[in-house]
Amino acid sequence: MPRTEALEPETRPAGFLPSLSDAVRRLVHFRLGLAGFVIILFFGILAIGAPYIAPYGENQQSYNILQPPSAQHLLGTDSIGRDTLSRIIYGSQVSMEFGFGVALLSLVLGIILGAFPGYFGGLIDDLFSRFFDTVLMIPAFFLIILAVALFGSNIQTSMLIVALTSWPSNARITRAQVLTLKTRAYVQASTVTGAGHLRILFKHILPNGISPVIANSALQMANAVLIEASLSFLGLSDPNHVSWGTIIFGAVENFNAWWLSMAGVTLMILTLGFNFAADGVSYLLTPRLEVAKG
Amino acid sequence: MTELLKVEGLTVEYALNGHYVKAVDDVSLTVNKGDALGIVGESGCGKSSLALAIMGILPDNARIASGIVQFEGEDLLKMPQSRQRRDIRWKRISMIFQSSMNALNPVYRVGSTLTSVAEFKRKVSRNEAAEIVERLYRLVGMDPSRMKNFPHQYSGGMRQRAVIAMSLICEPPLIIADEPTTALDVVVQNQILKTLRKLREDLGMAIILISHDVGVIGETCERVAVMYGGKLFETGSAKQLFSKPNNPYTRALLGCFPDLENPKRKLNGIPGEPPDLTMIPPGCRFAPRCAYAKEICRTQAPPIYELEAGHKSLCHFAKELSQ
Amino acid sequence: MAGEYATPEIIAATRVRWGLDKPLYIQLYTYISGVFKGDLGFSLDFNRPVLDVIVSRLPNTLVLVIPVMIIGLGFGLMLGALAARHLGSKVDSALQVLALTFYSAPTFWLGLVLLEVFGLDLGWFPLLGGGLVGSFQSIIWHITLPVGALIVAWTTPIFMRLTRSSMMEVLKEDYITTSKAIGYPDSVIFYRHALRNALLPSVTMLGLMVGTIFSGVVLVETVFSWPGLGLLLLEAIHARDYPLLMGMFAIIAVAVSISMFITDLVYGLLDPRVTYK
Repeated sequence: MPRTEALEPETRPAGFLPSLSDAVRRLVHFRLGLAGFVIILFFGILAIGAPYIAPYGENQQSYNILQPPSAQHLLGTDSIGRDTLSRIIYGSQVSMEFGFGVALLSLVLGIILGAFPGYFGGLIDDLFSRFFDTVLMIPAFFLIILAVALFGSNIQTSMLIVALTSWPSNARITRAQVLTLKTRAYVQASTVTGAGHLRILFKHILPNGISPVIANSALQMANAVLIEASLSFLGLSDPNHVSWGTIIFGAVENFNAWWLSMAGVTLMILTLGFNFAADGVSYLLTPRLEVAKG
Repeated sequence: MTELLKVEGLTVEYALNGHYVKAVDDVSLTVNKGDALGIVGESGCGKSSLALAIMGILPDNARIASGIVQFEGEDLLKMPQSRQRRDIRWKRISMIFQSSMNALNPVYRVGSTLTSVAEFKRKVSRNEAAEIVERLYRLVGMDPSRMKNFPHQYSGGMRQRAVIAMSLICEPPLIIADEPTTALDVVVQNQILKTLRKLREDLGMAIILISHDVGVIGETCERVAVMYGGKLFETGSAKQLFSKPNNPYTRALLGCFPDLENPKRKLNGIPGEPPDLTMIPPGCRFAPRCAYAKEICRTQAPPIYELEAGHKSLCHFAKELSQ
Repeated sequence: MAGEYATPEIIAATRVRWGLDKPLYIQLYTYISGVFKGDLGFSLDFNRPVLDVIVSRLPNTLVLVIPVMIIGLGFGLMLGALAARHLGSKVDSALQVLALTFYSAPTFWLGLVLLEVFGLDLGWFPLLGGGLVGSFQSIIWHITLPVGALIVAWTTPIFMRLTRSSMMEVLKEDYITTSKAIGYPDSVIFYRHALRNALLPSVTMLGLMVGTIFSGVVLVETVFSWPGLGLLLLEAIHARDYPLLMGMFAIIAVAVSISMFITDLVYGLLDPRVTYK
């Protein structure tokens, strides 16, 4: 599900601003970005420390079937007596793993496949640009479902497929960055001093141009988490590991057990976290002018 | 009374990261009926902000810190926006921008854009408006049949003419032209300047021409103001400034441009960079790049020295330099 | 395919019947030539030609997707313009946060919540049944929640953010400054001069959306038991109905291409700078 890629950098708008302090806006975005990071951190801790934090086991069954929230089971139990809260905590493992895994793979692929065409230009550049656009046009979700169904529903396969359909957005951003940066003075200076192409690319250009790609990666993490949840909701995920999607599916099967849909809230919060973080990163990156008073 | 526009002590500030930056610093100038005033300076010296301030259309992150802008006897800065929109804008003062690709709205036909302006500002019917626009097209040397085209179908020179035509719709007494020839090649540039000159002769409007190109200013304007870092460094008649430039900045500026009478003379760029307006140094803001700078220039702000009637220079050593 | 209890003879017969005894390249050739003739093979699960199956379910999905995109576009434009009009204000920040929040909500979960709240608890909408059956009113009644879920969680936030950012770009242009210098009222400048330019990226997005919205379609159809192509895909996967799957892939690829083509055309109509020979 490719999204609109890099968030548009905000620069000085021409008019139509009210005479309110821009500080409000800055603060909101900054705080949101911060909140995003906190959320990600929170779920990271939850995921890593799940065995210690969760009150019950991941698949620990009991006789308390479909119990509403109580003191013993803060978020109730499902159809075979498993504690929802514990399962939600364990579910964060899958989500975080999927999110980071996909984003990392997509990042690496995207940077490499975007930097080289951007740097060397010419025919390679044209070809690759077409290639990006073509891959982006593929109905990704369809492919993902298909591949998972055909090749098995383990988490690695799914991550791979998602990464393979989402790297072009990173590539495009990288390419654009490389194109702008390669004409900058310090790059040309290092060419003169005889630095090899690879060295210039990795030491000078990429470190400076990487920020929008990072913001995009945060978006991709958000996306990946949603895809994983969708897959598990549809029953196409690894049955050995609980995922929030499967828990929510339980809410469909047992319509009255509304507490099972609480996993959706967790999902939303984590996704929000990534989105806010992405917003915050891209907001911090771009210079802004304020609104004048009076 | 022949005085059309009087700007006094105008200061325009932009809000940037918590503090204010002066883009226009205590600028005063006068334009009389039919005058041609040229404002020349490097990019970023504040010329465009000056123009926007006079028109009253500064962006919301800018404000006018002080000064008055008196037009036909009234202070525009104190006039409510509604009146400005109705009576002043485009009717008494209009603007010409650079003929960049998006000077005209790209999704509307040029004729349609101009006709709408005519209808709106002159309160005439669509047909009458179309006639006005057709006449203006011919006046600027364009074929009215091109009215049905879109802006991207025009050449740069044609777009500029269209923009000029648009500025004339209400036959205002004052037109502000901000870099009208910058995006054009030299041949087209000359044509446009000629057109402007002819229009001035025929219609008698006053024009403020803003440009970084000294040659363009010299060709068109009788009075010139040189701007640097938001301040006016020298003002006077074109004759005074070009034949006996006083201010070091003006001299440096003139040294940058090829001289037809002396084509073999070496072109000197001005070393250094324009000042960072967020950190204005004490003293003269041109001092870091000035060939004549002395110690006093770095510590004390220079005074305005009047060399002769109408010729002023912002420099500690204006008197000495005039010898 | 031949059933679980097939004997070797039946298996062999099935092979022959489905042409699986021929070499792979001949199978591929037969398939592709069939595609061009409109024959996408025979669905194993439904026992009907694949094309038939797909076509019979297509309208259900279309009646879902088209309102979602159009209404989403409408809301998105409105809200995006609103945010851009009050750039930097609390309204703008609130709208942005809301858009982000709704976009982060998992579509299937939102659908579920809507179903529970409006269907179960409040009883305003039906819990079961779907598709283009029954009266027009009944269809609307059934379709409201699924369409609502997709509009809220998917299309509106996307178009809202896009419109807002493209408005910000447009408002910086010279022709807008000129309009201000002319003295047009703010609303005219905003809606007639600026928005007209700012909606162009949204049109492009509309075309791209056909490919991306499929995920939402699958999920929503699952939650609401809506018998469309999304549900069909899942059924095909569970039944291992390969001909149907291949047929669906072909159809969807074609659909995406066609929609991009149409988008290009529409864009060409709206943006006079684009011409087609």
